[in-house]
Amino acid sequence: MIRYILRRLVLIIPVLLGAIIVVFTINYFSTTDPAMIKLGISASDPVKLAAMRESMGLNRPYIVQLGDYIWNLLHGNLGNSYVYSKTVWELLAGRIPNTLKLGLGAMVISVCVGIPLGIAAALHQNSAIDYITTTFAVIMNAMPGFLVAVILMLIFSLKLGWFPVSGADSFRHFVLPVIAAGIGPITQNARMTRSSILEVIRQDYVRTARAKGVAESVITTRHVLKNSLIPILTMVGAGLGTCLAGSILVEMIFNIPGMGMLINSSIMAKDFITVQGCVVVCSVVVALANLLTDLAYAAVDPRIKAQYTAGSRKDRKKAAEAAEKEANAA
Amino acid sequence: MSLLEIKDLTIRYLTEDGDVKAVNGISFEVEQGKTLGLVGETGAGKTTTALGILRLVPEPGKILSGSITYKGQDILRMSEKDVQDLRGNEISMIFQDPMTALNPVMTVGDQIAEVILRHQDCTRVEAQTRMMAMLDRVGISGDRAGDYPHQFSGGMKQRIIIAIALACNPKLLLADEPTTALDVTIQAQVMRMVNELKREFGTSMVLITHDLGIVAESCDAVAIMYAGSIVEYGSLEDIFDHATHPYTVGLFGSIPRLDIETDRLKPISGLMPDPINLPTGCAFHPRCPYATEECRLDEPPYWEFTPGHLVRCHHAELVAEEATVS
Repeated sequence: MIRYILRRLVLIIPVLLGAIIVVFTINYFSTTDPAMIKLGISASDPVKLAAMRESMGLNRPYIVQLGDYIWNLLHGNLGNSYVYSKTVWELLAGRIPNTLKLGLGAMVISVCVGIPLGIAAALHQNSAIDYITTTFAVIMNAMPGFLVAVILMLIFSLKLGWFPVSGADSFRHFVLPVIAAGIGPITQNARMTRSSILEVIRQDYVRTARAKGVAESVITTRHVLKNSLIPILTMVGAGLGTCLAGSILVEMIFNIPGMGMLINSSIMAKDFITVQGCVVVCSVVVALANLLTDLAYAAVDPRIKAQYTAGSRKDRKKAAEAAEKEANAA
Repeated sequence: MSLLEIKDLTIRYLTEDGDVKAVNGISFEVEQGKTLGLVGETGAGKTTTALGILRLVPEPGKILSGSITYKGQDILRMSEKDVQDLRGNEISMIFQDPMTALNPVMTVGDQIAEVILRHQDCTRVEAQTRMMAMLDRVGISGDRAGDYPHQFSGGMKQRIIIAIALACNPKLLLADEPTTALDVTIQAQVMRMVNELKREFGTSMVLITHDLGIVAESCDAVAIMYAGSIVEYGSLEDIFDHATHPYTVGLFGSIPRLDIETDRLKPISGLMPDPINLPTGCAFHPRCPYATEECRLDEPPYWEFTPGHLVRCHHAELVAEEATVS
């Protein structure tokens, strides 16, 4: 298993490299001249502009610049912002915690609310709770997150005054944004859980468990839930990536200084090196989230685990020994 | 007194397209230590009957009427809790498809131990020991208890299912086509094992199959099912040597025989009727070479051809005569 994790970690490298090359190349061929952005108003002076281009290394060939960028990344240097006199990392570092709080919060409520709702709906199929859950899920799924955010803000901040309208200073500031960012994942998790459980509940092995005389409650926890987890994990895992990569709209509406806001303002200011840095950070997060999801599969399903470990020499030896024993016994 | 006595059992699946008449008023008995073969085509209602005995007919199935008397008690009138105590303990079932009947994310050892812990008053350690013994009994080495179902072949999975079914020494075993999903060599192995275990534990059995060869080897009595009804019921000799229902005769006619040179088999013409719209009168009449107007109008009653040999056909005597001639 450890070998598998290591192998997967190594495999992240080409994925990240691909993402870096794509985003760097797009920036490189964009019509915007970083030197002009950096100089601002004094860019009208061609001498200064040429000097700036030279000092930023923009006159070097594409491949050299790309190599330089990757080399700097390896040293933890994401480059310097064109607009602010700060490094990209300095800009990011202050904002990642806010995005983490928002993203993880949304994920936690999507799991803690969505999955139980789905279970309840599936176990009482065609009952009131099922209809309410599925209707709620369809409506909320069709409603964009920013609309939910505005509605929440109108009701709970402006009308009732329970929560602050914007900012990221305290726990209370995060309540509404987390709900707004989490409502989509909640409904998705609820629907996925419901359909997954309904599928498992009709499986032959559930009937086998019933034929053993096992009580219905035990069947649900021991036989149904674990088997229905796999598609749910996929959903949660994919959600983990997107949640952490930032919900731009929610951050903007509630004015939370997170990564989403940074991406947005950097695009507006044509500060593309910062955008590039954000994309790199997001790809790392998404790649790690996918790895975690895959590992969670293995923890739940021994068949998947067997695929992961099939390559290891020890297991192959064990399997061969078992087969031999079987042959001798027969 | 018989161990199991079923009277007028009727099971329907109430679907939106209409009621699927899966089991239509069947009656049979299973004696202590004996095996009853329940024979019929796919869709004849054999599995539904077996699930009905355990009260496990899946939605939207409903047991509409009849009684299932086990040791003098009507299972259909028991509380859910009491039925759960019976399942896997007094009455257990071997399922048709070993590939899907085991929980893929639970070790086979745990799956066997689960039924022991549920019904026998014992500790985890004792259950573990008994589970190992059971695995050994079905010819799988105990050190594979920690393996998962996907690590076993089909035949081994079926043996594990048999181990689960027999773990609590049930009095009655419902074997639902235990060998259909297995290849022929493994079939023989599994049937031999089931019969041995049955003898050893004195278990009665309802053996559901469409394989007349298995019936001949393992059964004491046979019930032939067609479209949810038992059309002929009798001892092994009654059915194999004195078949009197045209459907039973047709079944035997469609088996190749080694001792007679045949160019073509004689299949029963036509198809099983749609269980939502069963034909009037005798359900078999559209396919029956003996059918007359009477068959189309009246459902034939059971007729005792010889003592203990029941047949449900207006023309049973004629069929029997012709069968003996040929």
